[in-house]
Amino acid sequence: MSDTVLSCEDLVKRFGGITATDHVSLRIPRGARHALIGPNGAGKTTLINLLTGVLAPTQGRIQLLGEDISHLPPHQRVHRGLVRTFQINQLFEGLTPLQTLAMTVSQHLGQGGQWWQALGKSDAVIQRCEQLLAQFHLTEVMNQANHELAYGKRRLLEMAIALACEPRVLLLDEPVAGVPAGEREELLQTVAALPADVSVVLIEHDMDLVFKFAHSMTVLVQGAVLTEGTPEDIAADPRVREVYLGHGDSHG
Amino acid sequence: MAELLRVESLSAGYGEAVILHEVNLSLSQGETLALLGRNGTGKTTLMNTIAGATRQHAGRIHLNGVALHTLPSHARAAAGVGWVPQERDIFKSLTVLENLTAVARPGAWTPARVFDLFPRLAERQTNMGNQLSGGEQQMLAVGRALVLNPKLLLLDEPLEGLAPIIVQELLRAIARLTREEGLSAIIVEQHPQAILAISHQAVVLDQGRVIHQGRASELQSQTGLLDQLLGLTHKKA
Repeated sequence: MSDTVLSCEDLVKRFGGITATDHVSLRIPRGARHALIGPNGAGKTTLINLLTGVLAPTQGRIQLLGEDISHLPPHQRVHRGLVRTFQINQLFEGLTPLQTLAMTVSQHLGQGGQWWQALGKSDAVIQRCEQLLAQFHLTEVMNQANHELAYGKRRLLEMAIALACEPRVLLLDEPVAGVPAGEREELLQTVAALPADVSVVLIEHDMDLVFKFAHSMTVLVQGAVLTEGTPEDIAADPRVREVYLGHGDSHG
Repeated sequence: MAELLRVESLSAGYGEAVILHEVNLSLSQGETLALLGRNGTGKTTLMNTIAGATRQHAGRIHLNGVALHTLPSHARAAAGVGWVPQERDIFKSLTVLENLTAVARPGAWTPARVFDLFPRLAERQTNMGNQLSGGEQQMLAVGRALVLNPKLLLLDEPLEGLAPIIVQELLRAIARLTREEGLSAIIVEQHPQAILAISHQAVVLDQGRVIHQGRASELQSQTGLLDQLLGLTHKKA
């Protein structure tokens, strides 16, 4: 049996005359800690949008756990274990973190249809919410409206929502953008410590974190794969330094 | 160097909630100030208050002698405040070029010069705001503030979402702008070392109050103090 959990073959996405994804093929193995890097506008988020069904590909196929999911809507991909976070927060602004997580956990536990029951009635929902709130340092703000939360807390809530879905493959689009330096590493450690069989694909520009986290990397440039390899291979590749890393110390 | 910005006894927040308490600071022409602090300590609120986007409860803000605290937000922009908000807030239904020309004011910074700084935006100049990647939106937010030809640039996490090579370029550009063109800037950033390296002053906020104020170079060299001020030395086990 193949060890690949998520793959795409010859994936293409065109917006009019612009080819945002240019014949991309990727294989993400079980338990991967994989980083997707590349210059701004290289098509990283577009690729995530294709994999998760937010965008329909112009051409190509996507497989999750051996099943062709190319034409499934996003929510059905989530049910099958393909979960993402967004680069720009996508929260229900009027809800609180507790309400947001209770709703997500209820849905995941199959209780989403029991709309006439108060969310607090289920011990399983309460326990899971408490666990997630503590894990992401949200307990003290759990009753504030999401729009009142500091930016870093909003990022943490995004991540907590994703984990509430118990993903098999987790796609993180710049998860620590806006999170203070001291909390970034901790957040990434939480992700790195996910069960070994959960695969994680990370888009991030903080190279200190990327090189600590990733075991393998893909570099996208102008929608196409420039190169793939270990972090050491990528760091030493002069083409990657030229188009992406530069030659200075950009993040402190 | 002549004083450009003076903030005195500033208290501000949202509605009845007071987030900032008794903040005092001053900035000379051509100076950069690194505004640091943990999450939720009032950094963005201070930037928003200078830009006129919060409720000011007490205190005064003067820019070049002009009493900003008496002016609405758009008049503060006209008085010389260029603001790059944390969530970018570009005009999504306008093209890149329109985003720049809609707000441009006469001065050294033109859309063409922004395209020199960010060649990627030049390639995208006919694309709508909602067709840009996150990093491209960030470049556009910075460019849009520059074409206002401000005296004071408020940059709220300007490096987020940018590729390392662009971060290096933008840091060099900010340092050059302050050194050669006399622009002043207040920068909020999650990467303190990167921003202290190009700043003259450092101010650290905690719970809406200034808990440290001094030369950026001194704070940069005192990593123990910096970690302590940013709450990094007492992380939970």
